[in-house]
Amino acid sequence: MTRRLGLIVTDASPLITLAAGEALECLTMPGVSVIIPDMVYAEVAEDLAKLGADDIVQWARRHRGQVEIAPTTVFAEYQALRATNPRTRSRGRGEQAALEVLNAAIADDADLEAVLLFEDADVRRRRFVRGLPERVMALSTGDLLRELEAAGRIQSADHVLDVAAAKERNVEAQREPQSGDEARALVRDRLARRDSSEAGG
Amino acid sequence: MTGNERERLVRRYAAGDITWSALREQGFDNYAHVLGALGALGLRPPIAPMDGPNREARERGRAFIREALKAAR
Repeated sequence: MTRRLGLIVTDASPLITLAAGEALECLTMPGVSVIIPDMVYAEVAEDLAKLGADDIVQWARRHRGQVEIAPTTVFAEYQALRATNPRTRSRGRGEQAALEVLNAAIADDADLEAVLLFEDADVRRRRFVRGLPERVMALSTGDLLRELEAAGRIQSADHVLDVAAAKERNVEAQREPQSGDEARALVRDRLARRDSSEAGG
Repeated sequence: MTGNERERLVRRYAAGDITWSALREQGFDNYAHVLGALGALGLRPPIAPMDGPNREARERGRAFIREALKAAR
């Protein structure tokens, strides 16, 4: 019987999109294992620090047993590099970590079934699955959402993506630095409050 | 990167002309910022049409999810 490894997340972007779109449950709806390499999880936690990586933690806890954070040497090496150079970038390491998880599983069972989850534009343009066994498949965030939509499990794939973009737009607006005038007014206001409280005390 | 360059890249990304990997090479640090930039322009992340080098692997992936969803009911 073919062993089913499940869905392996290769990049932070599908998790970020679904978390921002309040649709992380979409990943667990098919009922198969969801494997997040530690490298990908670390990227998500870093990127979503202001949006609420907490949503992902809570989701992973709700689905303990189905959602797994998988350790990799790619992440261990990244951490070591970061210790010596904090500007080390994570770029591309999520995918390497996903392939490490996959190859370790294939070494145990060459016939296993697995699905690699990618970001949409990347899965369309880049060749990822060359040289992998036929039972290793590919999927994009949009592919998953379209299947859920067709099965009547979500109302609309586009709605999830619209919510994700709108939510991040608001977070992005909060990140934007205030203009010089606004910043100066804020400082003046704070100084005035401090002066009045000192005078009063 | 100027604001105009950033907007041009994000619009090209939304249209499916360039990849997330390409955006990273152009200086976008994380995907949350890309989503935010899309939202600010009234755009949404692209859903890739079923073509390109991974088409067959994606069709199998979608069939896998379809079957899993049926079994999970």
